[in-house]
Amino acid sequence: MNKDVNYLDLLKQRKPFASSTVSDPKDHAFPDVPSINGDVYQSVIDLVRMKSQSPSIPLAALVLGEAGSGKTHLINRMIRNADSYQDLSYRVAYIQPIEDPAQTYSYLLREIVTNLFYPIQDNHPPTIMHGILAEIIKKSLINATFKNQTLKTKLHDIFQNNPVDIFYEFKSNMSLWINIEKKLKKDYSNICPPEVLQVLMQLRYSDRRFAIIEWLKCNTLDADMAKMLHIKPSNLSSIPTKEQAARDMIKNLSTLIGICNHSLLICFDRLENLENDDKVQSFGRMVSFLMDDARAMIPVAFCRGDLWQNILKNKFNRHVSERLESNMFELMGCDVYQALELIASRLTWAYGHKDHNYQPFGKEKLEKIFSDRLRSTRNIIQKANQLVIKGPVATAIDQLKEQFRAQYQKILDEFDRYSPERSRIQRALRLFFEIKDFTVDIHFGDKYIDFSFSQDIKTSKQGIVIIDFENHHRAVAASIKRGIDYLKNNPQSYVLYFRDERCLLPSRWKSTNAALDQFKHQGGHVLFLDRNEAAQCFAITLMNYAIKEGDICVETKEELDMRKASIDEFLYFLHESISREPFTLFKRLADILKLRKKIKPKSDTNPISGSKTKNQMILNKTIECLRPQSMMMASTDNILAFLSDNDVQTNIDELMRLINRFNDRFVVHQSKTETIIMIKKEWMNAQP
Amino acid sequence: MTTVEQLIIKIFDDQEVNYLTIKKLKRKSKIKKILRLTDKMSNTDIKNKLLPHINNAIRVVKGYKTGLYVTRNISDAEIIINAIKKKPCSLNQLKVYFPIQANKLVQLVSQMVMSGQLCVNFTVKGIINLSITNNNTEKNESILPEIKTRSDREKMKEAYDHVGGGHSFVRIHAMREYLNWSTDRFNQTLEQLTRELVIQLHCGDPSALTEQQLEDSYLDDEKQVCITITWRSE
Repeated sequence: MNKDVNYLDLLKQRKPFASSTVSDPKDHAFPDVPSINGDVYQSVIDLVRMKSQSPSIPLAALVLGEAGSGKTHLINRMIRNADSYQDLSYRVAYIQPIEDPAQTYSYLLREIVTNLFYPIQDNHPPTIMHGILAEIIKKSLINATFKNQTLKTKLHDIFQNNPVDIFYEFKSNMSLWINIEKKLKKDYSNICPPEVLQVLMQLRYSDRRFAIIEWLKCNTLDADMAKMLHIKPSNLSSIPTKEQAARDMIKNLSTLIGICNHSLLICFDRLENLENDDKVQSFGRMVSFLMDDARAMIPVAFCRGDLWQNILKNKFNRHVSERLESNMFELMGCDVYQALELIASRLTWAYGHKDHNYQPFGKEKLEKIFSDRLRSTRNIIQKANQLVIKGPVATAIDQLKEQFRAQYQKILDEFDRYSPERSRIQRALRLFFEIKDFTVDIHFGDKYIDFSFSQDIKTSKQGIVIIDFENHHRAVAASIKRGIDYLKNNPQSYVLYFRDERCLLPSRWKSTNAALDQFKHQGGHVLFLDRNEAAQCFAITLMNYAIKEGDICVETKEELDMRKASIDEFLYFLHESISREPFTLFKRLADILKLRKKIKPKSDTNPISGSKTKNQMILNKTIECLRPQSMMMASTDNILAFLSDNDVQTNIDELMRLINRFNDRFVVHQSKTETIIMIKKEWMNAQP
Repeated sequence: MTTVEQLIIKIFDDQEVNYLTIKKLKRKSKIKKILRLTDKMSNTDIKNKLLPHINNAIRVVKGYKTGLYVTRNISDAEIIINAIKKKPCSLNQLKVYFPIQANKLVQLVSQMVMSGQLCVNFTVKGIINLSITNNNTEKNESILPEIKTRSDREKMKEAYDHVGGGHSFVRIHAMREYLNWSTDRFNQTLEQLTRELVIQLHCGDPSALTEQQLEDSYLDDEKQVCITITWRSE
């Protein structure tokens, strides 16, 4: 018995079942259980094998599974095992949902490049791109003739042991690198532009990595960065030109990957976030392009089954859906043996040994719980977690807060992996304005303006947001000019200009800095996002994607029960947290827009004061009560009891007055004996 | 006006049987007249004439030596039990002119013996006779829901295939609408198939459904609204 208590304490301390979600497929925190969805994994690996044997075959795949069935985990397994095959070389790129369909290929390129610059091993400098390039060099030099036999022997040793070492061992051997570049250009200039090889050869200089990444992403470079890479400075280009350049660069990268007989699995996850037809079509274009023009890449879409079969499939061009469905795999629920295997693996991880015999649960008890149906992996982990944690459950909002903190901290810990990405910042800022009851228009203005915002209340605040991560002074100047022009025409408005601190304006850009000064003088606000603020935005956006996917769950008060957090709860959490740590950016914004609430006097002990706040609280708690219910409905008696349990004092008249006032959110059914309240579908669907 | 189906059921009732061969049915004058059957017609021709008149009470199946039979629309297990109840017999005797093909019949009888619905007795000559398990009345009552479920399972698979058009993640509300069963009958069949791991229930995204569709989905014993199912094994 004492032993059981110790086991339980250890579980509470190490929390092996606390997370049922793989928010980042590159996170290998918990052990993998190969038998779960092993056949689907094997089928994808077979596709990679087929691709490596016949690179010209256009291949794509679709993996279907409901939320929690292990889609992201499957990507995690593919990343985890990428180096474990002797006869197969592949890498994985994880693509987040697209935000701006007008920049389909530019976005795809940015995501691919970001993935190619992930470290091969954690905490080691060589990236996947280093690995690919090292393989190409190896292929080119392995049979080359060398005058210097010592060099030849040393190079062969490196090629045999760890080819990426070439970037570090011979970093300062200029003549060698000149010869390597010549040899590569000679061997591959007919299939890959020499300029690409020339730029990539400079990966040996760590201080040039940022410029190389920006160039590969087809972002405009200023004269200094171009000079550093020994290339011509790029000119400002229109979106169509950029799109074409991005297509060409993806093809070039595919060629390089193909040279060393690698494949790149392009994993599109969280398709739930393709919120409109434009984004759906944009995704379709990416898939078709990758299949037809980037032959070393295999697009694999991960989608919820119901969403695919009943919604998305019909929205896609038939050509695209048929191509994806030509290799369609379904993730299976786990039977009792797999459930126990999963639990055993987590227990082994927590205890550090295998001799736990399912303590403190006991095998029989687990068999009884898990033998009644096929369950998703998430459901198994959640149930196991409930067996560990019995006691008071935090509110959904507090749990979201905790999950947000974890996500935010994780991004901060690996901040270099999150290169400046305009669309992520834009999504987070849009959420801020929307929860503050602003109307947001993302189609306002031209490509330099991200969105406009306006508020139809007394003060009628309005303005525009410009997020600018460009590296070319002319592009930056063009963005600032949009801000100045807007302020001239709308002197009472707000113009918020955002830049990542990693893209500071160099002092030598005199006219650009002068323009920025003029912008400030006109009343414009410049916000340089520091590391913490950029991480906040990334965390908000990624959590928003995950919520929509149904990937974030909260414990409910009932034992052994968890449910998906709703988008409304997420918005409510943001709303409530905006003025608190760690939302420093949102605090800054609220200050600029003079939105912050007045601090209540300490003497006010009533936690709910003021009718507006109280009404809001009643509404929020009513929703909190209805969400976990069957069909999201409950009787007024149950709602009142719930409100009372949560220290919200009201009565049936007040509740019904509010429900009727907000009839856009609720439906009232009158039965013979009671009044039933249900959340309206339209309101359930409310999207940020 | 009496339909063909009602006429055939009346014949079954009058003769106290659950099935007839097509050939025997052809000899019934009323049927012959309504369906305009001629002596030269093959069994398949008769079947084709009959099919448009079949609604939900009877079915045409292949049985002994691939002959065609018309049976009441009850499960195979129920047909077997009624036949043996009427006259205990050996498996060899049972299979002759029986509306279930030999291989399937052997399988079903084996399962029913294993599950205790049927029992076997040896004669002096060593022949194995099949009979209904003792405490018939009581036992049969408990068997009946099982039999019904077995038949309903097939119908549910048909609905799954039809509604899903050969794909997985089929919406429960659409299957419910297609089958038009009572809520209890539908839910019980769904629960039994879930317990047997034949199907997997999925929660899906409730926001994609209308309120009515949500109500017509399924709430499981863990209070999760299940929206779709996937058929995992036959």
